[in-house]
Amino acid sequence: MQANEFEKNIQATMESFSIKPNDAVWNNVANRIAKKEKRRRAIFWFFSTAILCGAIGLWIFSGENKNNSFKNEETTIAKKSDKINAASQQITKAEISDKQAVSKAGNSNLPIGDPIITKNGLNKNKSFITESKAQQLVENKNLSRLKFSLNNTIHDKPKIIDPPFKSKVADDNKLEKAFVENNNKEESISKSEIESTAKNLEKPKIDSNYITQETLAKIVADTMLLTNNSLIKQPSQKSKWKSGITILAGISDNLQFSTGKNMDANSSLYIPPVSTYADNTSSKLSFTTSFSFGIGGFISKPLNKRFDFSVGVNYHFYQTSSRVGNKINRSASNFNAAFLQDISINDYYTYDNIAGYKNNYHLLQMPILVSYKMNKNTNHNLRLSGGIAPGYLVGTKALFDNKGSRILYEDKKQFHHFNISVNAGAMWGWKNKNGNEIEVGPVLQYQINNLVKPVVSTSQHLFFTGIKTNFFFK
Amino acid sequence: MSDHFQLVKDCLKHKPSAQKQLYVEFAEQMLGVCYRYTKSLQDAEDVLQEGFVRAFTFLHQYNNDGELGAWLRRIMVNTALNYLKKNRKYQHDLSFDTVDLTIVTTEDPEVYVNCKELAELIRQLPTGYQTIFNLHAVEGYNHNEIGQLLGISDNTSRSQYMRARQLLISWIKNSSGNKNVVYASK
Repeated sequence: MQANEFEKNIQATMESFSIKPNDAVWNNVANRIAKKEKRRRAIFWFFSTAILCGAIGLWIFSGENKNNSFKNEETTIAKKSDKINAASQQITKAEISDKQAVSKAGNSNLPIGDPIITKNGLNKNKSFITESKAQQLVENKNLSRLKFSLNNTIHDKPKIIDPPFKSKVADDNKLEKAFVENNNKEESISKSEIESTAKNLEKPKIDSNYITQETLAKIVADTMLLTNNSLIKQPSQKSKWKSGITILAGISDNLQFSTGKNMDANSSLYIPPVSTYADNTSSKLSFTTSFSFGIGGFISKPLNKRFDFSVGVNYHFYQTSSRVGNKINRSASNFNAAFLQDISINDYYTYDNIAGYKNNYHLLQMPILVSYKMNKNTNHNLRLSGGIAPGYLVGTKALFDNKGSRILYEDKKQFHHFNISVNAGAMWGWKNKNGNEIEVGPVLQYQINNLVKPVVSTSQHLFFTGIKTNFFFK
Repeated sequence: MSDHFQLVKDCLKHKPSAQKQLYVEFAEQMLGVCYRYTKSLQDAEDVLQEGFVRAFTFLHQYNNDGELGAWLRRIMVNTALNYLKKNRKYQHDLSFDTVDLTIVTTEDPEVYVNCKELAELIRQLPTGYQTIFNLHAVEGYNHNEIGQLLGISDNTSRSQYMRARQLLISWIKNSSGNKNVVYASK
């Protein structure tokens, strides 16, 4: 019981025991929790961006096969349409010739509105084409999609005549076969041959009142050859320089690392404290993220099917936030030390957590990037890019942390002007309806050299993460 | 209590003003706790700093059903124990068998010293004694809990505490004008 009294007495005595901590403790606590918060946000944005990129990538890849098949289908249909149109024109010519021939021969058995084209009259029952069947051919299952996508092209043209007694599918396949053969020949046929063929086509040789299905197919295919060569412009496969503008938007930070240099009283770099807050030994200037943007131009050139090279010039505005103490409007030009002998400042800030301060950095950068195309989709590119960006600090309104004097002030001379950054990012590109190419994606930029001159105990490195958009000129 | 509820809520929204308010309200009291577990004020402030960082980090785990001060106090104590274990300066002293004293009296005097003097006396104890004494006599942990916290048996905790207690009593007597030394090294 007596023992319990002792403990109770001790507890009661110690209950009121308290000690006022140094102000530096709160500054350090505030800095550390701000840093944790910043890290938490960075992780959040990183994973959000990664998930977004993943989702976009998945969408592109999942849509790739669909797009390709649709594109192939469209191409086939377009070719079919052209071939059919040309064939129809030929048939029309053949019809005219046929009618003339029929008229000459006095063959009144043939219906004028429904001309018959056969070979030598021997295969009259096997293979002849009537206009009434043309509608069926157009509406044939294999060509129905063609009708859908190229409605205007087909409807105003003369109809193809289809044999009534043969399978429509077989006929269509035959036509297609001829088209394919001629398409394969396409590259090897000279211009003179094409002209020759065109002349022949202009005057189809019909030695009788009828033409065969094979002849029709040949006519169609030859006509297609002419059409392809005269109308379709093959894009140049050679790689060319492309130009465009770049816009960046995101957040920037100033990452600090210890260099192991201490500015204690024994150091030659030590400056006698000018601030009454100088007893705050563990304080330091800390940075939090803030808005950043950049704008510039670039030129790029495909190195091969996968790799692109680009170089440009950007203006990049970095910004970070800091917590500072009171602003002291007092000239401090008298305190000279190793690296501050030429410095004269009119005002400075103390270490504290009273007010916010925006540190601005204006950089001109020359990003030299190589990008790797990850997919084969020509309409939607997914690229990984990386490279370096030499830069020049053209101006700054950032605080310099004079750890010797333990004050903060603006001093451009304490920053390295030449710097170099490493870049990495992922870009998703597409072409809009007007053919303009756009790329958008997350990027990271990290300055690998020390931003501040190496007389202080921490190195500073600018860091940017955000969204980059490239607009290509036509 | 309701003020603390709102304060915690604001802190969870990462409002710097609320965070500072919470710190200001509890920092002095918590530094008193940290001070008793360490040997220097600088170490105590390091523990305080680490403790508050942990408190703000895990503030979402505070469920408002207890006193915020008590919750912070537990965090500070745990942080102090971790600090003692990790800090090389204390690792050697935090041995519970190196100091062997023989108690020559078991009298329990009244505590006449003020809190500052008592805190200083507690800090004069060997680190192991100091830790166990703080945990049991001041914080109110039982020996089973202390054993779990420090990785020692209940009996070790109990015996260490008794020795620390007697040592402290002897110092209190001395500081109160009673010059009879009631302990001696073996």
